[in-house]
Amino acid sequence: MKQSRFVLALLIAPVLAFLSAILFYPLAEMVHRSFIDPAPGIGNYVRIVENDVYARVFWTTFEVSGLITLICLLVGYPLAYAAANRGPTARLILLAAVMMPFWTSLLVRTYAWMVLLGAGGPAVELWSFFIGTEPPQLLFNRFSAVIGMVYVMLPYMVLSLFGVMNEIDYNYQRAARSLGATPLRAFWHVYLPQSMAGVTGGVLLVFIVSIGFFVTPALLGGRKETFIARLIKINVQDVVDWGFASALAVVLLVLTIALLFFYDRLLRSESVLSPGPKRGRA
Amino acid sequence: MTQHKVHDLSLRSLSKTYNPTSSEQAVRDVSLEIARGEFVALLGPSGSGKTTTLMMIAGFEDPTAGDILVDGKSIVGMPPNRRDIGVVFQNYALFPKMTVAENIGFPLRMRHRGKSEIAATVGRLLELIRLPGYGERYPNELSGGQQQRVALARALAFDPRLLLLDEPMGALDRKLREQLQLEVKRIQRTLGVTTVYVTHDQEEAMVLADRVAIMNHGRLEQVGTPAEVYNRPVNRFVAQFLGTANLLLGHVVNAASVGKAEAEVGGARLPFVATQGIAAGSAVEIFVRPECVVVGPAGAGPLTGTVESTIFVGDTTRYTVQVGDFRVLATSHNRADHPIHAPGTQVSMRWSADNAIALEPAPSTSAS
Repeated sequence: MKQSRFVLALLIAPVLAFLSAILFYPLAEMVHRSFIDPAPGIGNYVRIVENDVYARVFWTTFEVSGLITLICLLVGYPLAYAAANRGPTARLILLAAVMMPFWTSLLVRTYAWMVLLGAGGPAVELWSFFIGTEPPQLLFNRFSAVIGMVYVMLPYMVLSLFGVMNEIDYNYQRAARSLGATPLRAFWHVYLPQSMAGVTGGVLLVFIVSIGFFVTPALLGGRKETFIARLIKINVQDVVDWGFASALAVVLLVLTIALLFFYDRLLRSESVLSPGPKRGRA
Repeated sequence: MTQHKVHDLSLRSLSKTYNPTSSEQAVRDVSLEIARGEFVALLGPSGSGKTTTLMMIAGFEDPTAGDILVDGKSIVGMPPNRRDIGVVFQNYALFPKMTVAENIGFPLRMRHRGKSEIAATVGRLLELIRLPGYGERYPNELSGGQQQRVALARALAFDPRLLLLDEPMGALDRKLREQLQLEVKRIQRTLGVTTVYVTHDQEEAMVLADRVAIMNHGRLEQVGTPAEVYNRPVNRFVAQFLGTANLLLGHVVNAASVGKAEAEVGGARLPFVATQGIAAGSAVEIFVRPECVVVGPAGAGPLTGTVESTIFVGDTTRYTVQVGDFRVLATSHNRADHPIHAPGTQVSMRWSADNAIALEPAPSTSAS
C-alpha cells in the first residue's frame, strides 16, 4: 500500500512540477500583482467597477460567446448526428469537411473571411447580382465576428457530439420504434437524452474557448465586438499597465469559474465535473 | 394479464439482398407458417440469415421479395411503430436514462395510456418477471439476467401481436441461461403470445421451442419439433448442427420403398429406415446418433471394431471405436452392473433400424 502510493506520487510528480511552473505559479503571481501594482490595495478593481466600459466588454465577451455556442450547437448537432448514423461514406465526408479548416492557420482562416465578406468580395458580388441593391455592411460588425468565430469553434462542438453519438447503439432507436414510438418521439425520448453528455461537453468546451477569443473578433468585428482578451492585451503591450491587466484577467477567471459552477448545477445529472450517482451508460 | 387475442404469422418466399449488384442473398426464399400461440426457434450459425429474418418481421429491414402476413394481412411496408410487435434485443437495449418502471411503461406512454393504467400494468409485469420493487432502479443497477427480464416485460407491456427475441441469452453465463430459459418458457405459456426466438444454441432452441426452424446460408433447411429435427435430420448440416452425429458411408444392399432397409457399412450389414424411395446399390450416408449405438462384447453385434478411447463422464461413457478406416462414436449410459470397455479391446456395435436413417452422401465424406 505504502509503496503503491509512493509510485503514484512519483507518476504524478512530473505533471505537477510542470503545472506548478507554467500554471499555478504564474497564476498566483498574476493575482498578487493585481493587488500591488502600481500601488498596494484594490485600486485596480475599483477602476474596473468605476468605468462601465469594462462591464460592457465583459458582457459582450459572454454574450457573443453564448451566441457562438448556441449556433455551433444548432448547426453541429444535425451534422454530428448524420456523421454518426449515416454510414461510413457520409461519416468520412462530413468529418473531413468539419476537420479540414482545423488544419489551416487561424489567422489565414480569419483573413479568408475578410476577403469573402469584404468590399468587392464574392458575398457582395452575389448580393448585387441576385438582389440588385447595394449590399449592407457585411464586415467589421457582429455578423462577421460571429460567423468567423462559429467557423473556428464548430469542429470542437461536432467532435464532442460525435464522440458520444458514435457510442449510442442503433438498437436503442430500433427498440423505441418497435415499442410504438414514431421516429420523432424515438429521437426525443431516447436519443436526445443519451446524447446529452455530448451536448453539455460541447457547450462547455466551445463557450470556454470562445471567451478567450482575441484575433478573430479583433479582425472581423467592429469596435462593439471588442473581447476582454483584447483589452488585456492592450494593457499588457500598449499601455504597459500589468497590474490592471492582471486585475482584468482575474475578474475574467472568477466570472468564468462562477458560470461553470452554475452550469454544472443546472445539469446535475449530466455533470461533466463530477460523476453523478445516477449517471447511466452512455 | 391474459392475451385477448392470439395471432398467427406467415412468411412467404421471403428474400433479402443487401447489395443489389451481387447475387449474395442474406435470406433466400424462406417460407414458414407459425400458428397462434406457437413458440418457434430460428436456429442457425452466425450469418445464416436468422437475425435478418427477424428484423424483417419487426420492420427494421424491408424484404427484397416475398411477403410477411399477420392473421392473413401483409405487414410489409408498415412502419415498426405500427406493427405491435414486441422485440427483445441481444443487448436488451434498455433505455439507460429511464428507470425500470419508465422502461416498461414506455410502450404504453407511446400509446397515450393514462398514468394509473401504466402504473398498474408495470406493477403486474414486475410481478410476472419476479422483480417487484425494482421499478425505481436504473438499468445499469441491474444484473444481466434482471435486465433481460425487464426487456422481456417491456416487450410484452402493450399486449403485442407477436414476440420476437434476438439471441436474448447471448451475454449470459450458462447457469443463468438455463434458469432464464425456463422463465421465458413459463411467461410465454402464461401469456400464450406467438413467439419467434432467434438463437445459435441448438440446446436452447430445443428446450424452448414447440418447433425449431434450422437456417443455413439464408435458407431454411428443416422445420419440425425438436425430436423430429434431432432424430430425423434431412441433411448433413442439420444432423451435425443439432448434436454429435455418426455419418457412415456405405451402400444400400436391401432396398425398400419406404421403411426398413439395410446398408453395407465397413463390411457389415446394418439396418436403417428409408425416409424416401432408395435403390439398391446406391451410395448413402447412414446417420446414427452416438447414444443410439449399443456397444457390447465382440460378436454380439454386426459391426466390430477396436476401442480407441474411453471417456467416463459420470452418467455416460463416450467411446470412439475404430472400424476399418473410419471411426464410430458411441455413448452408453453407465450402470454399475455394465462393463466399461477399455481402449484396445474388441467390441461389437449395433443399433435398431428406427435409430438410423440414410442421408445423401456429400461429395467428399468421412465418418465424423
